[in-house]
Amino acid sequence: MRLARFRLSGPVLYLISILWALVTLYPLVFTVMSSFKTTDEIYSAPFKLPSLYSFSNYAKALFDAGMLRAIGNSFGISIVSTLSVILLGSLASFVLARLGLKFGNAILLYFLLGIMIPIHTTLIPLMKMVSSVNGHNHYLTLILIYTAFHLPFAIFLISSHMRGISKELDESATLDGCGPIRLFASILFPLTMPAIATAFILTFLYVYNDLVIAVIFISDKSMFTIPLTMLTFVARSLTEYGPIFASIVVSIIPMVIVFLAFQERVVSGLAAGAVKE
Amino acid sequence: MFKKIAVSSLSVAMLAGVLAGCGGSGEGKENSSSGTSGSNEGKVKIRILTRLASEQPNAVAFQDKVKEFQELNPNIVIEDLSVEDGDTFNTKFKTSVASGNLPEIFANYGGAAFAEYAKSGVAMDLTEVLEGDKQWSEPFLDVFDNWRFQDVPGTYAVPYEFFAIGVFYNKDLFSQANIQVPTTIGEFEEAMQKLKDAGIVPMALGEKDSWRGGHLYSVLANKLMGDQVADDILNRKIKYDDQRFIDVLELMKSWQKKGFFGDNIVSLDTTAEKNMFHTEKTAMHMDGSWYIGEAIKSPIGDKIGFFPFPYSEDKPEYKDVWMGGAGMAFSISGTLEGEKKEAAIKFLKFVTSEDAFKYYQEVQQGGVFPVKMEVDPTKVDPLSVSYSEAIKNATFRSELYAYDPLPQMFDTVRNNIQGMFAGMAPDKAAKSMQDQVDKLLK
Amino acid sequence: MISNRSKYTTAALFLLPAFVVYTVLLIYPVLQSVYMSFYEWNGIASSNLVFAGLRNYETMFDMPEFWTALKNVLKFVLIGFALQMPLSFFLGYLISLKMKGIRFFKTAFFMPVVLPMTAVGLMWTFILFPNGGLFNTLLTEIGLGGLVRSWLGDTTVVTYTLPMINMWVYAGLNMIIFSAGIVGIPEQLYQAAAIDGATGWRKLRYITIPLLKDTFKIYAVTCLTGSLRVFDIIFVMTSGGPNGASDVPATMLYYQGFKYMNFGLANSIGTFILVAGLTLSILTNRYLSSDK
Repeated sequence: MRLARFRLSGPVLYLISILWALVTLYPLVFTVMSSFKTTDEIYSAPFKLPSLYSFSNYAKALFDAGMLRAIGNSFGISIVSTLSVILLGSLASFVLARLGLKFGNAILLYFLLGIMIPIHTTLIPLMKMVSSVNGHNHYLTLILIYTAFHLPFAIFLISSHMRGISKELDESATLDGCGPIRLFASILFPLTMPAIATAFILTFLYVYNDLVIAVIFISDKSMFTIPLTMLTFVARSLTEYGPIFASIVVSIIPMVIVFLAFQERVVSGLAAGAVKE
Repeated sequence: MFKKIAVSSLSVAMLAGVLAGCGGSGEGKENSSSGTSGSNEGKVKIRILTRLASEQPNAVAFQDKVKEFQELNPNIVIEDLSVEDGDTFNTKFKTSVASGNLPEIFANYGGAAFAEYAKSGVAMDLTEVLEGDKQWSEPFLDVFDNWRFQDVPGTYAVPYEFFAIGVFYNKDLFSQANIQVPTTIGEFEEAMQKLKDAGIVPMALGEKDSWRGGHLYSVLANKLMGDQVADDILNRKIKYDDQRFIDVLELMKSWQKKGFFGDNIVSLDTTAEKNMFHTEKTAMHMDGSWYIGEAIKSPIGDKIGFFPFPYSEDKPEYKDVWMGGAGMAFSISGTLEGEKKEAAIKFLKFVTSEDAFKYYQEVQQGGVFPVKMEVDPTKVDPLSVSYSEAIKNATFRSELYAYDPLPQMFDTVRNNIQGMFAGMAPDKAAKSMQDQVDKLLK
Repeated sequence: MISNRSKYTTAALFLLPAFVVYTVLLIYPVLQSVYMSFYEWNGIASSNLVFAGLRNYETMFDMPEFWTALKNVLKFVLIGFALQMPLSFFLGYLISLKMKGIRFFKTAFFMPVVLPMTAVGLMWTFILFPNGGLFNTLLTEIGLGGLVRSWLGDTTVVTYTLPMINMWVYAGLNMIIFSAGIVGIPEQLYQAAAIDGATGWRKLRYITIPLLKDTFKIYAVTCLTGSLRVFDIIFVMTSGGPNGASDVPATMLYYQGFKYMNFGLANSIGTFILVAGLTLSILTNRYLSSDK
């Protein structure tokens, strides 16, 4: 039925989708091909199939460099950071979007400020702060920093969607004896699911790929995240791209799973449409 | 009402619990890792920040020594913060300096940019330490220049690496094009023309990494203008738009125009450049002695030879001026006292002792180091042997613009050379370098 | 209605955790850097800050490089609105359809942003090699040899190449922002419109786009602030080169601070990014919100 929305449908849409998919999937093909090659081969024949399908790059990545553990670390840090962003962010969004506070807009603007911050300006003050509490090599340090960095966008996204939901809903819920907590948890949170799932995907993605924060605060090898572990293949004399690409192939799998799982939630939030103003 | 508060505080508490639980696991880890080596109490912790963290032999050899030191000194705990990637190292290092949280031992490359660190006491003056232990300091070559400064007395680092820039060449391609190893720039140009005529890229240059052109500039300036040019830059006795500098740039530009560097100059990075050498698409590769190990392991390892960068027929007196000297060096944080200081010095001596360098050479099967060492030709590769032979009479100068008291000039010169290869006229590039100096001094 | 007392209690309890974490770990560091933008400092902890007033800002505005960097940001913004926005919207629309194999397409469209920028950067470098690169070879093959350029090596061309690659990377990300907005539009509206005889484009024009105003606002703010602080793609692909031609404020900030130890100047660039971003966001919000 949704297909019938526009006349531009069926074959044409498929054709466009396939074309763009080719353009965007190509890097994956490139990455997989490169993951079997040596650095010399990557550079001399970047677009050819590998001359030899050897798993030595994978062995190097997974066993010598400890990529499996890194994936575990990254995944754990990303999930916890993302959950705290979503929890804190949606609670705050609820207040800012639904309660009609006097200073609501000012506070929203205050949070919005966080979106514009170039990360490098914060490094030195953060380093001072973390050192003063001996916070190096603690997951909590990373998680709190990631939470602070990604909250603004989550709040921005979630609150602007929450604002779009009809206000009558709150009133009738209140009349039914619904308190603010139930109003939030069982009505507005589910209705904002598309935005929340989107915020989840984006936050997870950023945290999962972060290098700058992790490299400054983590030096314990057993706590290395994926980007930190990949750095061990970068030497001054030469960079071993083969194992780097193998690491990438393995490490994007969790990310793709998260994306698919939560993208489903975006779409399943359809019911929200029923109450849009 | 009360219930609501209770529930909402519960949710906050839950979140705090999640976070704390996570922190707990991190803490637990730290405890358990130090637990294996016993309690941390009464131990001295030394943090080291180097650029030796890859799986390459040079880094592995260093890590071996760190482990050995750790075993010999159970009362000192070494925490390694090293990162090999240049930009990442730089971010980490600068953040540490700026927040006053500098590791006890840190790697650096010295030069004018480091003078500020010496002045502000970021790095410790090692003069007494060097004087006090002749057995350790005696073997070092005289390559401390980068860590001695005009307005601050003292020596602020101990060299760990040594390099010299020369030309690696493919013997097969040379005989194919029927050319001899050139000794003068004239012969060098002839050789490049012959290679070009034979359909071989004479000497590819990966100028996307702007240090490639910067090194060529420094080497040529050394050979054409002599070793005092470094001092002239330091004392501002020469300008970047001096005709002699423009001549150097003109020469480089003319080689580019003749196709001696290949086509893709500004898009090609160092790895791609080396790849061309390894796949015999280019006959020569100008690089430092750090490349020896990779050269030997490359698919054309047995075909690679080495020659010093050719000198100018008009200026034979500058034949032995090389771009080279100490590479990475280790400094000790200037704020250390007591036990920590002792431990840091002990560590520094341990990883830069003559024995340590012998061990590094053994693991890497070659290489040149900043100490006088007997080179045993049976144990060391032929490239290292010919390198050691070639540099016997050499005078070393770092990358020229590293002598400039303005640290910005390091990138400015490199960038303008890159700009020249991307199309700017040589005299414009030279002028733009000098403009930057004038602006910064204003 | 919710009683006022209860409202404020809830507000405080719900808002406080986010407010505290955000203020302590992001705003406080940023305020410090704003403060430092009025001082000269060589980046050494034990060195004194020297009060400089507005001197760092004067230096910043005096640098021709800074204006080049702003021009480059402008190109990111222009391409972001003229090309990336329609593309992302269209992709968001595509994946909200119940097409067969939609999961595959969704994942494919999102792929560029999942892969680390280093890998993507390396691949594009290969593709864009002036000679023998895939792209120029393709152009020559299809008879467009005249368009062949040194895509990353030419000081003018590179400033358009980078935003284009940026678009290719982030279209998939913005796609999901749009798709979250599109699924929020009630089905009934379309049905009603269909009864009135509205066709595809009219529905798009009169229902979808107007109802997505909030989403476009989100996109506008993301695009403006994202362009102002763009860093990774430039750092990975050109490091701002050749000869600084592709520098942007954030790469300048990095070089001034972390390479040349001019933290005062670096922080004034950082503050500029912040103030410009905030101003533009407020203006966008004003301009795009006609209701309320």
